[in-house]
Amino acid sequence: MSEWSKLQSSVSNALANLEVEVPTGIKLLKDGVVPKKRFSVYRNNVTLSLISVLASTYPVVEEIVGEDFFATMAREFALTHLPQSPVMINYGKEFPDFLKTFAPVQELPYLSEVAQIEWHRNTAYHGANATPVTIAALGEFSEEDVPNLEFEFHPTVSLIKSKYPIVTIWQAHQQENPSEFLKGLNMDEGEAALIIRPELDVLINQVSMGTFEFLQSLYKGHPFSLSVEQAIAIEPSFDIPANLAGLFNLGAVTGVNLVRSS
Amino acid sequence: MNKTSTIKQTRLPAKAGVGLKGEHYQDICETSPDIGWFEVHPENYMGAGGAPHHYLTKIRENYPLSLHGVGLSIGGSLPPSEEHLSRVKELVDRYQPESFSEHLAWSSHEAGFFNDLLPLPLTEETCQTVSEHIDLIQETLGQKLLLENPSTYVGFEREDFTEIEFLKEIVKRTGCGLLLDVNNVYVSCTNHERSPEDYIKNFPMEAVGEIHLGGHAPDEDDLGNPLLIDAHDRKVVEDVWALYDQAISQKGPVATLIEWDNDVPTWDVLFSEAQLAEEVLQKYESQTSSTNAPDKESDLKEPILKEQVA
Repeated sequence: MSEWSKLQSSVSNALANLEVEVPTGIKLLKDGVVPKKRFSVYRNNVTLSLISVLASTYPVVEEIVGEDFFATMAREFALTHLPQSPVMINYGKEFPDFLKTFAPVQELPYLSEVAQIEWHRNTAYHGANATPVTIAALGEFSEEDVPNLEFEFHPTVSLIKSKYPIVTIWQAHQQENPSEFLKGLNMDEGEAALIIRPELDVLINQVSMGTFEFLQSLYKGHPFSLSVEQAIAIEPSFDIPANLAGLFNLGAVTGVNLVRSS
Repeated sequence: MNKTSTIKQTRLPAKAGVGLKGEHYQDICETSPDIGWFEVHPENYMGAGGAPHHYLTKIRENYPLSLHGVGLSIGGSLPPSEEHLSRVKELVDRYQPESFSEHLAWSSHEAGFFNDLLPLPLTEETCQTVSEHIDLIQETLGQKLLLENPSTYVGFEREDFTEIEFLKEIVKRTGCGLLLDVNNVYVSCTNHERSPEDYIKNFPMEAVGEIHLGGHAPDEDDLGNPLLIDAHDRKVVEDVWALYDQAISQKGPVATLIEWDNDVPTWDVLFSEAQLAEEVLQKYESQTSSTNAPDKESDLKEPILKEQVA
């Protein structure tokens, strides 16, 4: 191992482990004083910059727990999850899972799932562009083909479901006064959402549990008929035309294909 | 070995530009401001689609562009990540920037990416590895790289070169150019008790293809001595403007960037900061225009070290 490689490893180790001392090889100050404060500029840059990346991806989580507590939590995450690439728009995918196990936030069981909305929002923002089709695409098929149709989804689409009202919580934190908006919210009522970026802005669309099942089934590549059955199984009043129209209006469908059963 | 003959050498106009921030996309697209050029970190445009590419594509149609990387870890002991280099290459091919630059620093090691520009000892060994890394990058991108002088807060016990000797040696070995960050000069010279005026005086201006100006935050070190931190979060201070004036008086007008990455101000504030740089450029443009015409494209094919200092 080269001299620089060894020294770089010890600097690298000292950056991510705050209890490790300033590495040997770093120049001492006058009278042999160890430049702790100088070295800590680098430590601060590393942690503060990663905290700031996380805060920009997870602004609602930050607002829920407060800026100072978020910084503590994000620091702990950053030091145990160093980025594995310089592409910071991809950093922090594991943060929602980290929140699930981070002891001090266990009384906020919905926090991790609100964070999931924010992660999907981030990936949708940077996701690939695609051209949606309109509902007229269905007109190319005969009525008896409709049950066997499969749908292609826009690459920025993701689906999320929770046993907590996470969409309402997320929406409340887009308002000036979230607590006013959340007054009387039943925390045991689950919610689901379809997240998509049809043009430049990401949309977080709340959907019913029936619609969620329908979309998830289509998204997995199942045919239309099976997807409708799954929706009706949990939501007997599932409105097929309204759901189809809603899906196409969002720009969520980029293709419809007929899969012939052999 | 000097490989400049096979490397594309375009350059930015000798005007003031600014770092492009998402906060200003709409202002720029709506008002088409009279500004020389824009610079972006390629790492912020490594998503597949959406607003960043939408706006950068529009803005690039109307302005010269510089890609200023922060992720190739040129100063590290390990070679730049192949995966990252190919992502940079994709952006260079897509946006055809007039300039590509990176830092004399490292940011990745075995544990991961530190999202900071970290210091390296200037030794025979690192001179060799940095040269190899720059050769690889220039060959892959097919474009000349401008290497930026760093802001540093610590030194190393063992070093073989001063920063200027090191940069000159890298230019000689790789044919790369230099990005002179005048704020970094001020920050590092203050932190290590050197004269920033002497640094500028001795800098190999013939290799400079771009200048950076930015703000820094004042602090104190372990002994209570001044410690400046390169923060890019405020206006350029008077002392840095004076050093910039000195640099342009030596070099003649050259593309100059206002870097403002944190606590990003309104577009108007950023634009007027760039106007201050433009005024300095114009002052020296009128003084030197008769004797120091900008290099023609044909001159640029010559190895850069053969160019005469203006």
